[in-house]
Amino acid sequence: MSNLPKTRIPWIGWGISIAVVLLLGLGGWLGITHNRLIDTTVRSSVLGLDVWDVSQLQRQLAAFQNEISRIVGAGRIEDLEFLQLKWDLVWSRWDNVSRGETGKALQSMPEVSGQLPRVGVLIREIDASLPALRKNPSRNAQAIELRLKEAIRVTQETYAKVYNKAFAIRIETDENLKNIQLGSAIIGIGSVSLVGLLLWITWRNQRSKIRQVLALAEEIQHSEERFRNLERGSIQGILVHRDGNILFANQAFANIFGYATPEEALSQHSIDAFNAKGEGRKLGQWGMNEIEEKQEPSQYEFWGISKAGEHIRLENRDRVVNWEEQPAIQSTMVDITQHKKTEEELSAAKEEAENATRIKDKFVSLVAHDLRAPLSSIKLMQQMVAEGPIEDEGDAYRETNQAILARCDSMLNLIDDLLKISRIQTGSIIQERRLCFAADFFPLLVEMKFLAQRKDVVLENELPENFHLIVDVNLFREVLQNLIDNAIKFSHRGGTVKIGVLHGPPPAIFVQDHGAGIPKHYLSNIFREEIKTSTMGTSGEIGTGLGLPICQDIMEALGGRLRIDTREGEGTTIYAELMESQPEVLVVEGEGALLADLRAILEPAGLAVHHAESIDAAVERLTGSPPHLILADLPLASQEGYRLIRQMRKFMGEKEIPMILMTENQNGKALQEAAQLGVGEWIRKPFSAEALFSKIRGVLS
Amino acid sequence: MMYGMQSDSNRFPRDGRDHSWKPLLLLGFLFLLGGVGNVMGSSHPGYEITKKGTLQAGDPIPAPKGKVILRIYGLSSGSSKDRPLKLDREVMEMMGTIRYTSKNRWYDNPITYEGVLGSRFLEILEVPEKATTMQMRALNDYVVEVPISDFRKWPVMLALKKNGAYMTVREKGPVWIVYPNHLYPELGKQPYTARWIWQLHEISIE
Repeated sequence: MSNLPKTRIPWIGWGISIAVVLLLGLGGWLGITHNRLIDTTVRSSVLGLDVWDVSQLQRQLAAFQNEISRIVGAGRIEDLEFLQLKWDLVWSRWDNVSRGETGKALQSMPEVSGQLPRVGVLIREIDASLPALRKNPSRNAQAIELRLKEAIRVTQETYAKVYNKAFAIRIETDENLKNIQLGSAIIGIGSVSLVGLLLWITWRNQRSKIRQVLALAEEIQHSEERFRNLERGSIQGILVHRDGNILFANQAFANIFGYATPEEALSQHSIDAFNAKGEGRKLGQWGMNEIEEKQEPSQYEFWGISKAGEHIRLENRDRVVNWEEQPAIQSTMVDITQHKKTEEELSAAKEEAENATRIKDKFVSLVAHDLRAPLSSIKLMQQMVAEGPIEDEGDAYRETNQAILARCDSMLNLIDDLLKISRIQTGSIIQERRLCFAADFFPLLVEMKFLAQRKDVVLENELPENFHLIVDVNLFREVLQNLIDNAIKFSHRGGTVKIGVLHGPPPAIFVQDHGAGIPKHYLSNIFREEIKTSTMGTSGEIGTGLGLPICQDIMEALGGRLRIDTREGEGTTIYAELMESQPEVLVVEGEGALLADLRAILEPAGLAVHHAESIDAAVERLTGSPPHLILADLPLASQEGYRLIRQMRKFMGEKEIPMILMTENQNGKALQEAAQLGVGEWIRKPFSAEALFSKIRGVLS
Repeated sequence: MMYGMQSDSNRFPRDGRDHSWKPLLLLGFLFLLGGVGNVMGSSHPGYEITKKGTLQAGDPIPAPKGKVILRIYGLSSGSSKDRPLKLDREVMEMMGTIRYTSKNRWYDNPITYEGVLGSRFLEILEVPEKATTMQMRALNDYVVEVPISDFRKWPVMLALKKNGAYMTVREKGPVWIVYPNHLYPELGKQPYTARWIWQLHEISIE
């Protein structure tokens, strides 16, 4: 607000002050003059009465003088009563002059105050001598007339003085009146001019002020618009808070925290509601301290929590703003959850890559060492063969050659294993998972049995032949071979290796020996190919140290894993845990007569039975989630039957779904045609459960 | 207003009792209604009745037995320009008398005046409604014109007694027109002071 134009109010203030002072001054002067006017007017008026009374006294004294000389001269004593009346009038007038306000006024005048008592004395003397008039009118009249003359003279003098005084006051009054008229005129004109001037000034100031205010209003509007655009368009969440109480939130803030509107966010009791730890206030206080300490906005990251309870990583910047005249904290935040996640992933990937490189380096050096050792011994032996004349061409030569071959073998094995690892890890092994039964691995077990017999180890096969698994048969065979090979290797002569099943979950096939067991310090690294943990077998068999890591890789690729249970000196059991899955069998049968029987056979063996009552339904089923096995009851040798088979083949594409035809037909030709179309096996109705499993195993292998 | 007052006053039964105060009260009330006068709402007339009059409006005015103190000219009945209605002190007092005390500029102390109420005086003499002015003349030949409305507006008194004694000529008697400046202070100032005529002996109604 510092860019606010300065108002001109002080100027107006001065103008008003001066005008008021001038008006007050003029008013005061006018008031004083007016008071003086009133004073002089009153005095003039009062004096007017006094002058009147004095003049009347003079007049009545003169009238009495006339009467007395007339009556006494004419000797009309009978009119003395009339004379007495005239005298009474004089007396009454004297009463007026000597008493009341007129009396006081005259006595207060130094010019006349000395003379009036003289008049009083004369009047009282005349009054006293009036009754004597009857006895000796002429002589007494003379004495009265002398006194009267004197009284009239003094009264005249008094009158003149009082009149002059009254006249002077009158003039003063007139002057005051003139002054007051002039003053009024000046005040009138002055006031009008001043008010006019003030109005003009005010109007001028107001006009410029109004312009300023309008300009300001416009500027504020622009700034508000800018803010609003910024605030609305901003992806930055803005939260204004004080003492943990929320004062303002923008839409972006609401969006970040999963609220529909800023108002919904505002309805939260405190900023604690937005902090994952519920420590919004604490954090706000910390931010405030930071600002006070560093005198700049504080910046930090924290975990927020959305309305739905999700954690959000936020980058936040706190600064102090003025909100409704009070300081408040404005937190501006950006959701960096995704960014953080990506960053973490990148970081993890980088670490992994670095780790992988490091491991590779180590592995390369290990493998190089493993390859170099037999190679150098091969070279040495070959040197012996090449350089030295071999005395005994028979045994020594053969032994050397055998040793060379043995080392070559071990090198080949190592290279084979390396290739396997490489293939598995690069994903270049295409695994083909399908339904199979434990029986599929019996040939391998037979093979391994011979191997075991060479070491006097008994291989006990406890695998139920109907135990089914969904695996890549070749890969799993490799695992099984490896595990059994190891078990034999670490079994003591005359020991037993048992192969069995755990129904789970998860289902597992285990290989158990009672041999040497695995030392504890090996266990943590046993599945790590970069740390080769190769131990010689109980008969000095040499391993590549890569067997178990390869098996673990395969199991993980198949969705399972290897688990080891071992005790040093007591033996080892390795479980090949498999992904839990239920094989699905689709029964295609129109009448449904066989369905119940099939369910009764298949479901206890852990197979899920689905039913398609028509060919179309079966086809539809194939497009959805294809089953592991199809059991079809079809009238062969009919066009309908072939159509189904063709369609199934078409839908199955590359993936062959094993199919068993349940038929009563014994026509060899029809069966031959079906076989040509891809129907793997057929079973003649009616059949036993054993026969069906046998066929299933047959078609699956 | 004049008409109303007269008609209202005529309503009072002429039972011989003195109802003179009633129209005065009414007058006061009408003044109140009209907002005339500075003392508002005062039911007190501002004077004290000392003698109830025996004369009523329309009654013949008895001929003077004692010394004539006042001559009235210009009345339609019983008087003419040449033959004034003569009133002595006794007849004046038959009109009824009132009393009040006031202070004026001619004396240092308050004076209690007693005399005939002006409006009552007009009523009994049946001064015509159209008459506006009374020209008053004093023994000393002082003449002043007094508006008749003064007598109707305020309880103006034709004073006969001062402090309980009849006024002599020396004491501004026999009749002094006294304005009730104790009720209306402005009546003690100009131009009213000129109408406080003393030694009154002639009234010409015009």
